[in-house]
Amino acid sequence: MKCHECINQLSAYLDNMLTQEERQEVEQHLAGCSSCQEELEILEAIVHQVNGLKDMPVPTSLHEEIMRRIQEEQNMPQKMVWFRPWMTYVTSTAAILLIVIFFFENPLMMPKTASDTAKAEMMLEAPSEESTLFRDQGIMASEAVKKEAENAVEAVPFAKSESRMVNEALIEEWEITAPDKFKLLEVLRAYVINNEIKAEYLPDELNPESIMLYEFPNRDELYTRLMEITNAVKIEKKEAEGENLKIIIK
Amino acid sequence: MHQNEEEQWLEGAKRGEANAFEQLVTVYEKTIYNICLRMLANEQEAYDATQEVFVKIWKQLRHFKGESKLSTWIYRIATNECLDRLRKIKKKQEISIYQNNEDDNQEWIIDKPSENQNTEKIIENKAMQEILKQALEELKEEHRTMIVLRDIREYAYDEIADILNISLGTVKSRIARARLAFKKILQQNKEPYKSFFVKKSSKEGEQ
Repeated sequence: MKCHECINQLSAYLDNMLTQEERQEVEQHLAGCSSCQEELEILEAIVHQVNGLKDMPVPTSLHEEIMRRIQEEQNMPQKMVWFRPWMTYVTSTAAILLIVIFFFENPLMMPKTASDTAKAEMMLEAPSEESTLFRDQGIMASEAVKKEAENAVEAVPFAKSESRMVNEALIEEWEITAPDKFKLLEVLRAYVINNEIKAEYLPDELNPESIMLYEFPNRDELYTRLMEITNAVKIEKKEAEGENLKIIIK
Repeated sequence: MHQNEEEQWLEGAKRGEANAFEQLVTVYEKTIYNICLRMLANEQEAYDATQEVFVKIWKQLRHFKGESKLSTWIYRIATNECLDRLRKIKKKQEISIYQNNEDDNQEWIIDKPSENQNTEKIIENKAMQEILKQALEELKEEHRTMIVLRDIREYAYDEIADILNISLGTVKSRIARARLAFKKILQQNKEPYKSFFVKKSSKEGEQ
């Protein structure tokens, strides 16, 4: 074993992370090499000293501040979702019932996937008189869907106030290879906020692998902006002129 | 803290109970704040980042399926938040991480040596703490992350692999590289680092 090889192993040696064989090699080398011995001692001393850095006390107001933020969150829709004020289009009980009845009577519209059942559940949970009315009339269907939703592996989160039916079939897919994922997400986020688009981060907002944009305008504009940061946008059209766009981040 | 107690809080928090979530905040806030403080080297940033981390935990809780330990998942969110912030800071160049602010009253307290410890290996004075702190700030973010997680928080290699979502082999090599980089900074022949090794070698000479 040469000195530079030994030095590279010293860290794992200190932490007892070498295999027995590797460990023996290091020890053999150390036995005959005073400079590597010294390296080990220095490394050990540094690690020991850094270990000694003690935790700082938490600022007194921090805990309260966190809980204040949580309360704020509780009073808001749970997800980073933007959407147009759909509820303004549907103002009467009759309209809601119409949609709901259509939903359960048309077999093509029956929920097939976890995300569909989740949406169905959210619809049922709309905290309004309308939903109470619906429950009286459609209680059987409601229970069935709820049960299915509970069994669903992963309920895709939707804001509770979300009541709009989205046509899942019309999806256009963009595959983006981004060297700077951070920058890409920033651009997407800004676009979503500025245009008040309903967006869904899958599987989650922190580290999305894909983003669904529903019924959005100006895709050329978005395309241009994305090309500014990366020219690795690969577009695959599943449905020509799909009204929903799925962006897959590679 | 009992494991099943934590599970109960977790389940409660998932149902949207703020009281249950507050218990988790109580358990993890100190660790999160200190990870942020070491990573960001700025009290205000750490304060803001810690809040953000808990808001994210709250919002993402339903996605936590228990495939990793809750703590690991929480530390991952914290580390990501810090790395995001460091990148933003770097990009905007509004805040220099090398800034030497006289009003900065942030202190790095060192464990007091206990009676039977080898006191020679403990940093005794504040100057030494300042040196370590400054050296840590000089590390690039990838290396700093490793020193913070391994040598300050003392997490196991496999836990670090889970937190950063990288392989065990990568953890091993990154820790090795980070420590060598850290040593290199401390060995620079300039102040304040000069005194660090003068002091150390004179002590080792006594042994």
